[in-house]
Amino acid sequence: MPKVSAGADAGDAVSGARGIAWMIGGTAGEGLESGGEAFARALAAAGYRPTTQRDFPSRIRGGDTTATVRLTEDGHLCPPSAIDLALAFNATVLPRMDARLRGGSLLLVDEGVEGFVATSGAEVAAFPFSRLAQEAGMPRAKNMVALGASAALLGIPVGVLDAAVAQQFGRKGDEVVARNVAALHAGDAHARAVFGEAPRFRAPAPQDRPAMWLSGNEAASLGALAAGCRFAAAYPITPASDVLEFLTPRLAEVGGVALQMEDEVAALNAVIGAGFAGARALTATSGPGLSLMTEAVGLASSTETPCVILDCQRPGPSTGMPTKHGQEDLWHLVHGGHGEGVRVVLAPTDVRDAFHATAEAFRLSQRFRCPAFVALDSQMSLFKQAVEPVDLEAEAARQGARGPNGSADGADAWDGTVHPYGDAGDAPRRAALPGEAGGIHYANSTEHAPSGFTTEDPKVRVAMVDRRLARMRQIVAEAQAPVVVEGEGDPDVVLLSWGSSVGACREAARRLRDSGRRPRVVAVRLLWPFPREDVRAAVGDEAPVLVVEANAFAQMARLLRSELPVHERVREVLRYDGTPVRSDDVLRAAEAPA
Amino acid sequence: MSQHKEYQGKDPNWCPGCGDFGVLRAMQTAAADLGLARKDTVLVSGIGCSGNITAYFRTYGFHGIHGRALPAATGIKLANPDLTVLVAGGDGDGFGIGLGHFMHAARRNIDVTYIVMDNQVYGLTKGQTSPTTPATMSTKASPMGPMADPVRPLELALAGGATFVAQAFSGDMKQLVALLKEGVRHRGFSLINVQSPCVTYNELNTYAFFREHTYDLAKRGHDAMDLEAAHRVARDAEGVPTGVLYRADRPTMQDHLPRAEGMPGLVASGGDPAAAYAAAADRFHGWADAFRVR
Repeated sequence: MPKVSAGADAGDAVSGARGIAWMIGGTAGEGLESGGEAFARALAAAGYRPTTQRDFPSRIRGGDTTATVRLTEDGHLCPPSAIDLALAFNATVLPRMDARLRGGSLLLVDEGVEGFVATSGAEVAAFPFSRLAQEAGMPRAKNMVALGASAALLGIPVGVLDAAVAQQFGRKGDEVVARNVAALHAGDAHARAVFGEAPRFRAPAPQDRPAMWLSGNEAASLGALAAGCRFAAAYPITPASDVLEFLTPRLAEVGGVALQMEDEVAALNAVIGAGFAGARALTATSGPGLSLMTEAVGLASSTETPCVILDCQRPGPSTGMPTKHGQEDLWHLVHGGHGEGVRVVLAPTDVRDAFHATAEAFRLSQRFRCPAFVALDSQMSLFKQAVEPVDLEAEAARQGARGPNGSADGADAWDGTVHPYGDAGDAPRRAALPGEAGGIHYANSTEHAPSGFTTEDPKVRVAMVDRRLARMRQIVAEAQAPVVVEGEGDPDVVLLSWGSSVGACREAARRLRDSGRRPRVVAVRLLWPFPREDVRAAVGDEAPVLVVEANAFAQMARLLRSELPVHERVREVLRYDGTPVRSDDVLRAAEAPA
Repeated sequence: MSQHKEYQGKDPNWCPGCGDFGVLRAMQTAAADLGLARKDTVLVSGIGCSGNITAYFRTYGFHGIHGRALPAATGIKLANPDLTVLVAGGDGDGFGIGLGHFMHAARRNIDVTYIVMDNQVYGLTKGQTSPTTPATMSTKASPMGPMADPVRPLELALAGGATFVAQAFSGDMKQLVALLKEGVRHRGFSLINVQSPCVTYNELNTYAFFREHTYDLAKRGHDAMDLEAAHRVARDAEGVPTGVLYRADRPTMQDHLPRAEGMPGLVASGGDPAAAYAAAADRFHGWADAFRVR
């Protein structure tokens, strides 16, 4: 079982027909992130398939910042292996940018920043970002000059970006917009004059299809709203904080409640309380918060109270690396906590799927009366992707309505006629809600009989646990798309992954197909209860199985081995440097001798 | 008028003579006097001897985890403001592991009634010191005593911004019932700290001790609208004041929430997401359209 770990950047086809990667860097406050965002959004509006990457430094040095936009034909969530076109406004950011360049890249540096020798082999050229901005009457519009130059060098009609200017400066009035447009066009004209009319790099052609431009946190939040979520309680934590920020004003509009609680313990307990009362409720958190919530996850399991938890994963134990990328919570999500309770763990495969998976988490949580996790990660939570529009109404309709609880008025658990927890063999059903006249009972965190009353009777205990085991089988049977399989015919290699690392597998599969291989992508979307038979069918019998994930312990690979006899065929493809898996990593492993 | 028996659930398994019997009986009597509909009442509890009370009180109940009853109650009350939400727990549950939640529930002025059965000891784990154990009391696990001064729940409640702060003694049923009724009627966060003797593990804070040391604030001309006076009484290190220490009228967290006219409530929305969508379809369209770029 060779283990193929990702190394440093290798040569890649990113600047070929499949896509280009762009980066802008300079001092924070120079409009780099907002410029990059406006650039990407405008490209999405023009039919391109951009994705963004934020390259947070692990340490803030000199207040430098960069923004990255990638354009590919398919627009999968997957960082470029290298940057084709880089534009820099100061000297201190250059080494950091150079590390992402290679021979064939072009680095434009503002006039006056001199003496930099690229170790990457990239071509370095001076470009008058500041001067052209000044001439346009807007010295701050360096970023617009840069966008104009980028359009010329990438073969993008500069008019496409006029919208980006309006988007960013519309509120400041026509004059500001006009000067920024002038800066934009000056950058474009100057680049064509210096580098020639033929673009240096060629962005993939735009496609005429509808698109949404959003992050996974935003998509997941929309999914929650569509699924009837009207209660959210959370505690701020990177990279989950913007879920509550997104939901709070929107919940207010539709009569919902959003709360920032005193800690994650309180957040999930409040969510469970709201769920017990009949609201559909959600919390969002990351590593340290997830650890604190673990106690209450068991409470939701024991009391059979629906709740949905978004885990926006970040790497590391303890505080770890809050702004970096990792998929290190799989085992915690699947097994974390004492005792054995029912839970659902879903892992969306891209930004669009974050919408569907979150809505599905609500549906399964309601139907099977258990906590449901949605495993996001930094790349999916924060980075934006151009995706096919989602249908909120259809997702709302798919949730189904709450049926009657089936108890006669006045009947309660104390008179022995009401079994809120159901008996062995029962179909899943809901307990009565406070306010309902029939079915009065109490939800119990202590082990209990079907009546809800505490018991330690061995036979009852076994029956209750067997009922939970049956629930887990039912969840696997009823979950929508527990495993997603892509690729025609008999595979010569299986690329198995979860979460946003599926993007790297999809991109690698395309590159493998281009070279005559027969890859199959297997995305495990239902992480728990593990859909063993679906995965068994998906991985086939013979082809090597590359298990691709952003962690060092090979958490999915080990879970897979514990469920299926695939030991001899599994190869681990792991990246744990704090950045997302790249298609190069997968390709290298797929091409390595068995 | 309904009878207290209507609210009687299982028979408690507390030790004979436990102060919590009085608290339970007083809660049932207060519920009967107030005519609380069983279906519209929720009792939330944590862990400890006190936490088992949900089985003994015949309304909806939520027996949660140690120290977390107040956050759960916050979720219940905000999800369905029509419910009467009672929270019951012990001193370890509320002033030890749950102290942070206690302060924040008070600050939010969540409209729930928090009944603490304060016996100054951990009973269910067999007699360890609790946050309110007197400095002079030693236990098996703490032979030197707690080596710290006890937490002062009444002062903390006042500092936290609770709008109804009362103390009672489970041996004085009449006053306890009256305070519980007042607490439930009060709109906002109410604390009723009940001195509830543990006859098994606490030899200091006995029924006799409380009969000797309690005094009724109402009989001493205490002004419950006077926060400074309330603080002075709460600091009393010699006696055990009973009655209402403080009462104020302040908006609850519910009052701060924006109103959305014509929208189904949280419970209705949870029961029928498609209908909830239809009620706000224009807003949903707007949210989705904001992300549409082509």
